[in-house]
Amino acid sequence: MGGRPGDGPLMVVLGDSVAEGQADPDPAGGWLGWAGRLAAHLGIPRESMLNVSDPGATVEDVARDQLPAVRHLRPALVVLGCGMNDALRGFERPAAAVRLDELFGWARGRGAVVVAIPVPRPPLLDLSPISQFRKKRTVQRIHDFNAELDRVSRDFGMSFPEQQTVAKVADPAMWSSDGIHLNPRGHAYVAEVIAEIAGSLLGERVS
Amino acid sequence: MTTSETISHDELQSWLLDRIAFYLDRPPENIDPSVELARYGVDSVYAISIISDIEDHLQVEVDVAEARRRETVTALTDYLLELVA
Repeated sequence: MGGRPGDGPLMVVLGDSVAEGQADPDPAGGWLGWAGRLAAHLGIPRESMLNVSDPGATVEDVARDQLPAVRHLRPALVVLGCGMNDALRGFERPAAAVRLDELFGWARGRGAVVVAIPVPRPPLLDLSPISQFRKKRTVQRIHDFNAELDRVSRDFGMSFPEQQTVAKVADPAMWSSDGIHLNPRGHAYVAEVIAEIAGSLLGERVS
Repeated sequence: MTTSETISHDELQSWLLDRIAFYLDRPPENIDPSVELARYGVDSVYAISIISDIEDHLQVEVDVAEARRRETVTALTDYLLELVA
């Protein structure tokens, strides 16, 4: 991963509570999450990773509140983990597309590769008293958000995880009891899938 | 039903009274649509169940906090009719 200045984080993480690592405690303190696990897979020291994720963040929040804090950096890898809050609350697809273009445009402009984490179907939809109508609409919004992530990834020459890897995250064994946060096993699985994609993008980049 | 059908105020109000009566386990005719629902013991747990029923009945997503600001069946009916209009 040559060609970058010697200081500043190698890896930047933007996103929501799951990106922050919630429900996957780090034995060393704080949250580990797929982000910390991904850094370990890629051999990136923890001090070279900057995670500015915020619980509750939508793609709009990420672009508005998190991007300014990292805009000046020149990381090799940017990982974006958001969309669940958009899907639960509802979002305007064209506005989300603009924000995703902004985030990917920034990362690519800084010379980084960027990988988006697909939004999984949370078991919450089957645990809480939720109308069939809302469940159907939420599943549709998850599908729409992932379609936008796939689109923006391709537009900027990046890869997006295959549908079958995304589907596997629907397994309740990968979730904590609240049905909305991945458990350590879920975070580990996501890190594994993303490590493969990020590793190959980073490899192509230096070759 | 679908949102393309029109629903009258009376029709929706009487459906709501039936649902609320079901959760409170009392006859619908004992619920006055102009009296605050909290006075009948409609708490947040009942509210979530009632709103879930409303969403499936009207095929619309209802903001729980907004809906709970409508304190009577009459006010809630007006609010829902605006939503599906």
